[in-house]
Amino acid sequence: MEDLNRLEKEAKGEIAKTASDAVLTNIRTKWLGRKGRLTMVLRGLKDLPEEDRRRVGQEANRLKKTLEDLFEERRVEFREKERVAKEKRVDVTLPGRKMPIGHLHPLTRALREINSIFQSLGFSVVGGPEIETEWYNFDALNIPADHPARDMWDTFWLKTKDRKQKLLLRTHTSPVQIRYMKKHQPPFRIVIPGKVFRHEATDATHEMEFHQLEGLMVDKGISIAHFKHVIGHFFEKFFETKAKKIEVSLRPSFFPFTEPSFEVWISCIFCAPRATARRTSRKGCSVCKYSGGLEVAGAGMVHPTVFHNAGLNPKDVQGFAFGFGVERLVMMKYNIPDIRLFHSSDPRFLRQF
Amino acid sequence: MKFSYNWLKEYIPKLPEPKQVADLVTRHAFEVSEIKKQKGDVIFDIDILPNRMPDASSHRGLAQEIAAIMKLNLSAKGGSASGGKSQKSKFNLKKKKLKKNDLEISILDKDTVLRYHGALIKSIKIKPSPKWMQERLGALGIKSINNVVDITNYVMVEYGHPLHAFDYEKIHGRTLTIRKAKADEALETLDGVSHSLSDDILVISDKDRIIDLAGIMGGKNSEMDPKTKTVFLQVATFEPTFVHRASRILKKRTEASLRYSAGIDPNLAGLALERALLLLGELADGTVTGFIDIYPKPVYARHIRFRPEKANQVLGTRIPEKEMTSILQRLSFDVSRKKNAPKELIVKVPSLRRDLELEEDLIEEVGRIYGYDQIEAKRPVGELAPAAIDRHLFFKEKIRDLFRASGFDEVRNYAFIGEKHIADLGPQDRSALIEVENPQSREFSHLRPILLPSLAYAVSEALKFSKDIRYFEVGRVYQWLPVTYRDTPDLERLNLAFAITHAKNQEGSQAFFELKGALDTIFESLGLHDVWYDDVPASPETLTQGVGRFLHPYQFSEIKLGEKKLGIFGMLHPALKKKFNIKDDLSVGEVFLDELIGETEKEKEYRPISKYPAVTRDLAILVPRDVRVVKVLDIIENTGGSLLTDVDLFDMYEGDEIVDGKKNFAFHLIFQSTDRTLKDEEVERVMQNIIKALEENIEWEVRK
Repeated sequence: MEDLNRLEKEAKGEIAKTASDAVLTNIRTKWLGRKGRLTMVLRGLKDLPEEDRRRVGQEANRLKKTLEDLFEERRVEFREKERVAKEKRVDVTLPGRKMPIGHLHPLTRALREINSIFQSLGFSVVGGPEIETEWYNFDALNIPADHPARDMWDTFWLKTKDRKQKLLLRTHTSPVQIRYMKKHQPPFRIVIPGKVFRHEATDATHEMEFHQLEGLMVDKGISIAHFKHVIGHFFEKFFETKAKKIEVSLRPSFFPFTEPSFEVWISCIFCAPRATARRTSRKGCSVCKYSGGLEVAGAGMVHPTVFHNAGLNPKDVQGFAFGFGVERLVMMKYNIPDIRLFHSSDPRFLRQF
Repeated sequence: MKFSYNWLKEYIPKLPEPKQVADLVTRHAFEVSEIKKQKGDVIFDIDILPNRMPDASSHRGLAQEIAAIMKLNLSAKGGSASGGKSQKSKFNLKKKKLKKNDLEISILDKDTVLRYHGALIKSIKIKPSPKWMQERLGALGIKSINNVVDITNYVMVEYGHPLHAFDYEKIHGRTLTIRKAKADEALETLDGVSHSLSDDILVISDKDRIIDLAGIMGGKNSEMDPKTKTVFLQVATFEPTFVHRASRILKKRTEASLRYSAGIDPNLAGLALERALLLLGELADGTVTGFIDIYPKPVYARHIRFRPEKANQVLGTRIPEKEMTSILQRLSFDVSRKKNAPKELIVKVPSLRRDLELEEDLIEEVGRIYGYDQIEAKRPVGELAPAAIDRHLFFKEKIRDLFRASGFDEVRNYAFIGEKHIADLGPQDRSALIEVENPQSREFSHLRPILLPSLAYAVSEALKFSKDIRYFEVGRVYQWLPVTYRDTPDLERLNLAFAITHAKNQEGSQAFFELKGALDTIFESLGLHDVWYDDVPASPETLTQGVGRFLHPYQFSEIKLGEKKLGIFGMLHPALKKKFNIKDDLSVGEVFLDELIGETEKEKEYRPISKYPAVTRDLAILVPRDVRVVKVLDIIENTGGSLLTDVDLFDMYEGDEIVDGKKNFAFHLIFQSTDRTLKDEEVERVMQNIIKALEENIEWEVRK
């Protein structure tokens, strides 16, 4: 009488090592065939004493069932392998078939990205009309009629039926500042992306219709130091310059709606990042015209007259406003050479994004 | 504006080398856009900011600014640069008053002239100016004419106040009148250009005619010539708005008009005249016979309150008061402490600095001279309210994503349209068009009232490069309202337009149903499950805000939710296909996004998903060829009741195998209950009702 435990171990070992269906059949015969080793055990049961017969019988039958299941399991496995082996091998070097997918305009993508950076800083995205009154676009922003400051914006005027109020296509997104401040209570933390219009001849870097993003942060005690932080953070995120820090430099400027006013320069994102600190060094690249710096925005502290025109008391509030041309930033980021491409209907351009 | 390094160095003997000057000026005051070496000198091109023109558009003014930035001293000789060796004018300005017989000045509108200053000089010898003066003017790009004209230009770039010399003999009637021009008047200026004038333009006339465009340029008729003996030298401070307006209307900008437009300190007129007379005495032998000075409202220095604490709060700095005071003093302002207010200063700014009125203006002065680069960035602190997400914006972007996911590319066309598209618009649209007063060109003369024309044109262009164009655009459209608008946002709406092309070899209506299918998918993704397509019997011309005109008269449908029109789509009108030279099939449409987004907000409501299995039954029916699917669907849906949750047309056949001019529709009917598992008998009962209802139409035959 062989030891059933030892038999089980041996049989399972053989089954596990089997490599083909044919070998498996032989092993099955060896164990479960008419003269198989387990069969012999079962046949020998009758010779056992009464008290052992039942116990060993149960054990041996359980083992028989276990082995039959195992043989079946492996057989299915071998058959499946054989079936798959007959299937055709795919040529993985053939080209993939593309699913039809559309493309968002590069400007849409960029605006989403810009908005989300500012949203992460707590700025809400706000909109306003493209057709504006002369008052919102100029007077309210401290740009009086017949003042040379108005010449800074070449304006498209609209033919109107009533002569009381002159209408125009907004030359900047700044009028939305006034509209928003009139309706809301400070503190303000908003950005205003939108289309603006300038009456100028178009070429590779000038458009009569383009986008601006205006920002406004107003509270008690908001300072130029805060502006430097916010704008620096934005440009670092937008140009994804994690390794090198972008240096922000403010240069004196003049805008009627801010005081103090400045232009925002950043260290060139394409070449020497520290060149702005020493303008005298003749390093740089063609993008920054060998200056090492890029002018990217106009900004300043909101002028008291603007607060006043928006119905706020300038004594109670303080803050900064800034604005930049969106296309110009996108052109820098994606290396787009001509601003007119943004109005192109050429699929070879539109499908790149 | 051009500046000479050598000239500036005469004011500031310790001036550093040009590159360093340029760098510091750029960082603290104005952008130096060019540094050019030129005949032993270096010429800077500096963008003087418009608000600083009054004080910095001259060598004397800029030198003052540079000295303040660099903590350098101005030369004691001050304004007496080259030439003018004698330090004091030999004329006493107050003594000799101009006699009325010699010249009478009248100013018709008092508010047009802040100060009228001048002198009559006789025994002038007209000759070329000396070499040093010619060179200095030449370096700045100013042509040398003769000694008298050169002196007026020289003093302008030295002091910043323009001067004009009239040939006295050419002033008819010995009178000068400063007045507005009349509509029919004209003048030929010194450069030989003739201008027709209007009552917006300030001029100077003599007894008979206009002889000068005030503040812009003199007239040819009073120009000096080599024989000129007597000169009236005018140093007039005009009110800036009049010169600016005239210069804009006449499209004429001169060195003088630039300075006048920005505004000039009338006190500068005295200094400029004195300086010019000094040079005239030296270089043209003139003798002054009389002066005139009409200066009714003298301008004085301003006193502005300044709180160093507030300045630090705005700048985000901790600059000591002492340093601020030093900066202000370097800019030649007087600083004193306010009585009974230890934290406040009173700053006296000279009249030359017309840009300084408020405390904020002084904060800018301190900030820029201190240096913005020295301000360290600080993270803003305070209550951090989460950014509000605008629903309108959210859905606009969602719609863009859905079109993109359905294989559409996004285009952005101009907001302008021109004659090419206007002709196609309906009469109503045309009368409501908003026109640009000063368009860029005829192609961009009006604002678009709908998106479709520009989109169809864009597609026709795109077809030159690729087949199978699928384009969409989300953009604003503009139109006058039939009623008076409240505010300008009323004139704008947000629309969505889309287009699909299909090569002609396929079945004609493919593009139509592809677009309809795409729209279905998109509306469902937006949660708008009840959008339907209305079959409008009338011609599309008058329909749906003028978009219908652009569609094929028999191949279009209005997109509706309930009775609300969301938009319209169909095949492009054959006439437009021809016009845009489009050979392929093209389906297009336009949706009014403001309406759609309004509905999206209402529709967002959770619909429970049934836990019980659905039962599907198929139904095939033979109907005459002219019966449309919607008619069959209506009967099925109306009879099906609440258990019928969906009906899908999965096959339509009208081939040869079907007799009698009929066609076959096959539908999947899906039954489901939210509260129980449906029994076969229940479903069967509904199916029998449906079949019965369908077969009430005599020619209809449900296939069993």
